Amino acid sequence: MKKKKTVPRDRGAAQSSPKPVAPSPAAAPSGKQASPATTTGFKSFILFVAAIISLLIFFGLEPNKLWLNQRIIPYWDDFKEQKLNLDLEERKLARYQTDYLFAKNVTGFFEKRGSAGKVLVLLPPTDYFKAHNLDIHVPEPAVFYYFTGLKTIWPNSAEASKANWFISVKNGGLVFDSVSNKQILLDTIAAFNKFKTSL
Amino acid sequence: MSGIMIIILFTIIQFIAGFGLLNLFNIQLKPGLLISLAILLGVMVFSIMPFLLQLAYIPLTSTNVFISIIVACVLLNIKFKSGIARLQQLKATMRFKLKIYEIPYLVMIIFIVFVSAWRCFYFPPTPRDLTSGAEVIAEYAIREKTMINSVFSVNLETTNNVFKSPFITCLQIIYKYAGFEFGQVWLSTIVTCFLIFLYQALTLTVHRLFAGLLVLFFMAIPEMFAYTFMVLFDYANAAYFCLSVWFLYQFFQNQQRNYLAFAGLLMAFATYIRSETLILGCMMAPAIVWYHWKNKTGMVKGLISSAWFVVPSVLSYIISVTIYINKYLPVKYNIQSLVNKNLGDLSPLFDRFTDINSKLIFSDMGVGYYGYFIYFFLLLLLLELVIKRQLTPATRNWLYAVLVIYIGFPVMAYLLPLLDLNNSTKRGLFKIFPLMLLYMANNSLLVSWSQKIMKWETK
Repeated sequence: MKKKKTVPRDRGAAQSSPKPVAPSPAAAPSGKQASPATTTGFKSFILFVAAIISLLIFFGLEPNKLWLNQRIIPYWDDFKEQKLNLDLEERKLARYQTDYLFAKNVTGFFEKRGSAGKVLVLLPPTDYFKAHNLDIHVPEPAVFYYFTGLKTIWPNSAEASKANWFISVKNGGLVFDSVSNKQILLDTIAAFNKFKTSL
Repeated sequence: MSGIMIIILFTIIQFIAGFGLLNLFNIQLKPGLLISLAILLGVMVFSIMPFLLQLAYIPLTSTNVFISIIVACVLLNIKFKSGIARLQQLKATMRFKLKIYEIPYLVMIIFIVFVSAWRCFYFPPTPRDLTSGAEVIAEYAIREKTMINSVFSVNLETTNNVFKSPFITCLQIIYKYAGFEFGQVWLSTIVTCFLIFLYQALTLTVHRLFAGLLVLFFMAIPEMFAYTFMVLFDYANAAYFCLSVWFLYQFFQNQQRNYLAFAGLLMAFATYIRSETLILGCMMAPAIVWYHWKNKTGMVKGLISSAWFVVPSVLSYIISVTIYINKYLPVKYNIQSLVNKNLGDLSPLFDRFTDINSKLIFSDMGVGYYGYFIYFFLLLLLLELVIKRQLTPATRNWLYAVLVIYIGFPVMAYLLPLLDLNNSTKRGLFKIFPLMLLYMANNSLLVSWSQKIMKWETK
């Protein structure tokens, strides 16, 4: 009689002929089964020590050590602070940072005028702001809309000339202009397009 | 209701939906595998229901969404009596036994999962792929009660993310309606249940000491871990792809067609999450034909079985891409323009294959992304080849699946040049890791060492 294997093996694809199929080791047992032979406490303890040692070796390996020290532990430290601060706006600010702040400020201007739902705002590229010593990253229109619900457009778009407002920099500050003259808008688009537009 | 209560309630509903599906397919599994899989299937059902409502132009109000989920639960449990009998059987066979030596790994894994789940809950959706796509659509779907909403009136020249699968959008809608401002926590459900499933699957062949260490190794893949709390398509896609392959190999083992059909369903769902998975699903078909050829059951049967596996994915692709994008979305998206026009030139295929190896895998950057996981896999494979001098059918099967991803990504990049190296391919390679893990679980050396430990342990 064949000795029953302790660990069942997957027989896989290469069976040479069709034969009665044994139940998969993954299948549910049909009823209550006898408990497997129990481990003695001492042997379990040896395996416990082995588990601890293998964990220490695992986290002794350089990439795992780095991952634990630079990711998991700081994340745990973050948690201890974050659990005390559940304010949604602060959580958004912590993640989206200046992108979100910029979008909120721009939208705030139009909300005060009650026109946030009606405007299409031409935004300069991030590099334009950089050239004017402003640390502003301009979110793309879809992300801007997600942040605040304001519709914006980039100067490199074929539809940029449809904008009815545009933002530029004067004297180190943001200036909001409504489009009253189409030529001014086209000149502004051309000026913005001298800068690289990137995500 | 507190967030934790909602998660518990959702998990119960997901279990009921998933259990019903398992019962319909008559899938027999051990309790640990069954419970985790049922919840994963429940998440799958959740992610489909708002999409079905949208296809039928039914407004996505909270009432409609939650009623549709309850209706799905009821319909999936139509075999109510056999379901109850199986639950009773499950209760009778369930033994929660924790060995003392499992505790160190368990504590570590729970700690890491907790840290991940907290970040997933705490921070808003971050990746640009999400905030310019699925997330913004979900946000406005809540306000406008449709996924075809004002987002499509925004200038979308900078993004194609709005054309990606509705999988994340649907789950975000449900969880936002349930009170989670940032949604997302469904990802932690997928991560937790997938890890439990993997652990249970590993313990079928290797000792729990090895299983715990291997799962920890898998969790500590730095780049993949980051996507356990940053919502995107790739982690979920990797999980359901792996499950599909696992059930395909169960079919190889037990020859029951319901397992093959179930594997096909899971592959269809993986395709729903990321449409290009269809190519990988097709690349699994030769394994099915080979299986029938080796078993002398005929090539025709092989082709029929392949159809069982691949056709659901094709249907999933047709519904979620061909029909939904072309017929429902108000903005045109020319998918054909994404396909490589110059298929005669094979240089992009070889270039990508070289780049994957030299930049993503065998480089310092690769170690930063994936740790030593791939090296450990190669070491085990080498040891098996040198010491045992042969591969078992099970290991060959898993190696084939690993090869499908390894070869499949250069092929996909050749067909779809938009799939870049540093984003799409880097994350797409996540699919290879659970497959490597399951290879390790069948590695002859680990299995024989496991047998020796078990023998010594129970002597």
